[in-house]
Amino acid sequence: MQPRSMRTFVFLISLGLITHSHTAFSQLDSVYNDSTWHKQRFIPTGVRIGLDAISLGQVFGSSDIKQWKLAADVDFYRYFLNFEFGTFERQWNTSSSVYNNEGTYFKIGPDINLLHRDPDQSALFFGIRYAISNYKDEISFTTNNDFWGNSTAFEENRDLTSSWFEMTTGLKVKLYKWVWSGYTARFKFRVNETYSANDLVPHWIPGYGLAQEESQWGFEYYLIFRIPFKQYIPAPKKKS
Amino acid sequence: MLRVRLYLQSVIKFILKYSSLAIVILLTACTEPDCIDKGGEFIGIGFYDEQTGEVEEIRINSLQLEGIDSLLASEVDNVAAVILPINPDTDQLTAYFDTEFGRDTLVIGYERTVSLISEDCGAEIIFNSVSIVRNDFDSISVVNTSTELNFLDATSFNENIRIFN
Repeated sequence: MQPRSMRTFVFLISLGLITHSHTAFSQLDSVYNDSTWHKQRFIPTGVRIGLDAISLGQVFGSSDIKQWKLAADVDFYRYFLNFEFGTFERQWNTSSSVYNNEGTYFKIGPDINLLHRDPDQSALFFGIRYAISNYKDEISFTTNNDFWGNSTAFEENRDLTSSWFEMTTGLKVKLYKWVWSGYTARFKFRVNETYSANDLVPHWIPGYGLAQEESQWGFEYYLIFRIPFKQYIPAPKKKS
Repeated sequence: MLRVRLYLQSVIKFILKYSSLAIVILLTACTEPDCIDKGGEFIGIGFYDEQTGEVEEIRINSLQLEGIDSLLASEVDNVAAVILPINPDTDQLTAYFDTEFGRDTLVIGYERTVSLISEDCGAEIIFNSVSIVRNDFDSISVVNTSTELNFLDATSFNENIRIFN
């Protein structure tokens, strides 16, 4: 057989195998019964890794804020286990002071998906998070005093840790194949307060927001990429 | 029921796909705190009668702070209270009193706390933990360790220390 004919033959065989395997998968789907689904429903089908588009714009834009926010989730039936990581760096300039704050934070917590029967694995979720942030800050400032004159001073916190809880809600929707997008809105609360006696009271907690506020709101718009582990079998429709 | 759920899902997907930018712009608008500087820059000292505990007006021959050449007060009668300007660069203030009861030295300690209010408002310095490090008075006490301003009563005198004669 000529090499060219051989390549054509191999191509046709491969095409046939692909078509056959697709048919086989279809047949497998048709015989996939509720009990099998029930046994395997808690086996993760993939991981979604998302990057916050707002922070991405800040990194490449002219913003004073430089931050990254990454989020990943693994599915367990209608539940997701979420891991989030972020970095933050910002300088606040005023007429009499320069304040710098930088740090990293980590969040972990579950979500429950209300759209778990959706064949595209879209998610309308509610969840909770425990968050912890490690950061440092510093301020240099000038004082203008009628009695003591003008002077410049410097204060810093080298190693700060804060933790808090969050209630989250949001959406995740498949846009095209492995590309997804999603929103997460979050209410942050019960931040611990261990720094009021410091010479410098932190203005900002990376991942939380204004340190002096008892609660904060947050919002991210994620560009998400999904890496599948196994074929996703949606939950069987409820029998009426 | 199924039709309603499918409709809701399609609405959600539509919102996600086509309105993301508008929502992002709306929700990323951040709020900044109000410019309220609570930091007081003075330590208030009141004079009291040691027997009755009532406010007492005394004569001050001179009042001087270490580090400031000029006198804060000189030859003043009927003084019920004085305020001393805090030195923001140190953690102590030394005052020399020359009154009708004699000459006394008072060293006051305090702690400085700095915080940034916002980019528009700038930094705030608050002096707390007011204490008496050393003194020559017969009787003296700290009644308020904070110099933070009380916005609920603009006419009140923020008294930190009471001197009894």
